[in-house]
Amino acid sequence: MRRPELLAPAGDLERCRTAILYGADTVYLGGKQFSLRSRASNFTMDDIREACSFASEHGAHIHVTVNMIPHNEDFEGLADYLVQLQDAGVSTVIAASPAVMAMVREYAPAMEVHCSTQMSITNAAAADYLAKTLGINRVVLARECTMEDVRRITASCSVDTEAFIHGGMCVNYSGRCTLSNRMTLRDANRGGCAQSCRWRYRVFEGDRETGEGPWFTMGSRDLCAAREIADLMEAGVASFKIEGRMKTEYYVASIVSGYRHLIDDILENGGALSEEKLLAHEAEIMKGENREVCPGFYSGIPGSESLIEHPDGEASLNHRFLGKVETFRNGHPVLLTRNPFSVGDRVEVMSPGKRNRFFTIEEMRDEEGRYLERSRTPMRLIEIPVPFEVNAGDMMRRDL
Amino acid sequence: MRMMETIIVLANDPGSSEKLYEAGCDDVVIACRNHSLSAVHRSSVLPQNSSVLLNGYFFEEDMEELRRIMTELQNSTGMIYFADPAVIAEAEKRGMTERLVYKPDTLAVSVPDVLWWMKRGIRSVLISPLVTLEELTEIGEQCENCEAMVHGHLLMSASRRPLLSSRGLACDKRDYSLQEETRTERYPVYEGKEGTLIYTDYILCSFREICALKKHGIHRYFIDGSFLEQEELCDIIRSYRAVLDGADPEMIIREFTEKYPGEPLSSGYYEEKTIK
Repeated sequence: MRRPELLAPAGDLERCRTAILYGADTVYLGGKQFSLRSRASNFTMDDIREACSFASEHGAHIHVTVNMIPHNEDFEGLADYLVQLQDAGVSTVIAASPAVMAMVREYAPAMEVHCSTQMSITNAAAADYLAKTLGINRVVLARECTMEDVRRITASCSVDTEAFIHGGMCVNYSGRCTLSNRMTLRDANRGGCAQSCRWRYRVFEGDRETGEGPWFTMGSRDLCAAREIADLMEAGVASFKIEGRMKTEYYVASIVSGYRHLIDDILENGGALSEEKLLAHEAEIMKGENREVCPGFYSGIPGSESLIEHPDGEASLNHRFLGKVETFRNGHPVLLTRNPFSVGDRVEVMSPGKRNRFFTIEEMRDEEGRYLERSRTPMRLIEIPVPFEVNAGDMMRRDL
Repeated sequence: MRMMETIIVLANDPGSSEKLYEAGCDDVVIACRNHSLSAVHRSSVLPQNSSVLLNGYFFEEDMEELRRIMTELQNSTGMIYFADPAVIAEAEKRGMTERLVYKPDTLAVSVPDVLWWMKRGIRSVLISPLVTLEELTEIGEQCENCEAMVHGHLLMSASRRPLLSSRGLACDKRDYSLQEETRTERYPVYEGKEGTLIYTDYILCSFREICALKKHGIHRYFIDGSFLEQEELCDIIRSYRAVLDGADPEMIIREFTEKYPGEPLSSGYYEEKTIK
């Protein structure tokens, strides 16, 4: 069984480091230009160099998204940018435009070119055609592919395949949705998507409102393919992609770590896991998730059960994340807090490369050394004695 | 060399091509049932003398069907509108590449991308209506033989999901629309076997702009007949033909809007540049 690449998103350097430390083989990120997700913080060229350097030190790689569907003006400066990416040590450019892919080949041939999911590749013949004409090295499969599609494409395709395993799903074919363009004049294919599919709509039949439910929403639940990982590995998919360049550092750490352990466990066990183990991994991954999830198209074309019922489908916000160890005081770790917690709470510590450990908060002190029963305010520095060694950067979350 | 102006119409009724030709169009495009993504009227019979819309995405299970369709189309004479690169791969094997028109709806928005596709030996690229008039004419000047969408509701989204039937609504009905809770516009929505399509509330209209397109080297004009009545579609064709033959576009607009007063005609993105 092939060991797949675990490919994680990062919106800034901190999240990039976190993704790598928590088990990502490769991190994909966007620069200030030419990338979708314009509202993600995105990287300067200096940031990209630093990300490549950090990745290299840890045996990881950096992919950069140049995946907008470019208009004429967007090509300005692109050739120079590609050369700079190559010089910075970026291993791959992810692109959606054939012209951009051709430019990577021409100006920065040391980098690989991966065809973005924006091209909606759903069969091996399409991938082979792009490999033949553009020399692409990998194709990111359309999220509309079922598991059977993934198996068949991967088995016969001349280039590696990459499949999404977790995160946001467009309800429409990627690259084919312009709801945002029409409703907000923000170009969905150039990073301006306003997620208009998640808004609320009334349905009319002729002039009569159908009365179908209170509202019609189209937003998809997020993908969680924990149960499909073994099948995707068996299919020979080269890379497992987590969506979410706009997600928090905690999310990146939790989801990456969850899938890292799951993949490693499957490899150690020769490809199959017991239902009990699988449930445990799934629960671990879901600790970092705060949106409703579904298996996407892997189990067939999804119906209404895959759609969010409310445009604010994040109503059950995840308040488990307590904070990150920033420094040490009096020999004890000091947590930069995010959510409230109390003495007596059971806490789970996430450390890069280690199985999670647990303890109960016996006492805690604030910046002035005062003992507290409860920490209520985010962004405070709270000292918490922990009965085992922890490091700066470790994360703590409530164990429910 | 003077280029022939070509008006191409995506049929709203696959059985009535004759009327569209009589109205003055040069080519009728028939949407292939189960394999055309951007059409709400489809036919299970492949046309012999007109063009075919084959711009759906082919999944692995559809590949035999694609090969069968391409083999059958070898005996026809029209253009083949496509989006999936698998179609050009099959066309190359059969020596049919020069009959292809790339129609990805959203992906052809720049000179370099249009040129890349044209270099594959295809006949034309249908430029996305998401570009401004300035961008469109720039593409027309630099890319020979490209095609512009000039009239019709614009496709806003295409989903593989059955968004209507999964909620208990009917499939294959053309009178559903969506209205966002804070807006007044209604967006036509249609679910077929390929999934669900949502169109703009407005109808792109280029009576005023078509001569500029012609002047800047665009000579192929695509009219999407989705959601339009047959009589109106014929009048649209006659109107464009008249403008191309020298009629005053303002007079044509006046006559057209007098006959179809409720139609939400719009200049689309011609003067509205989207932001990133």
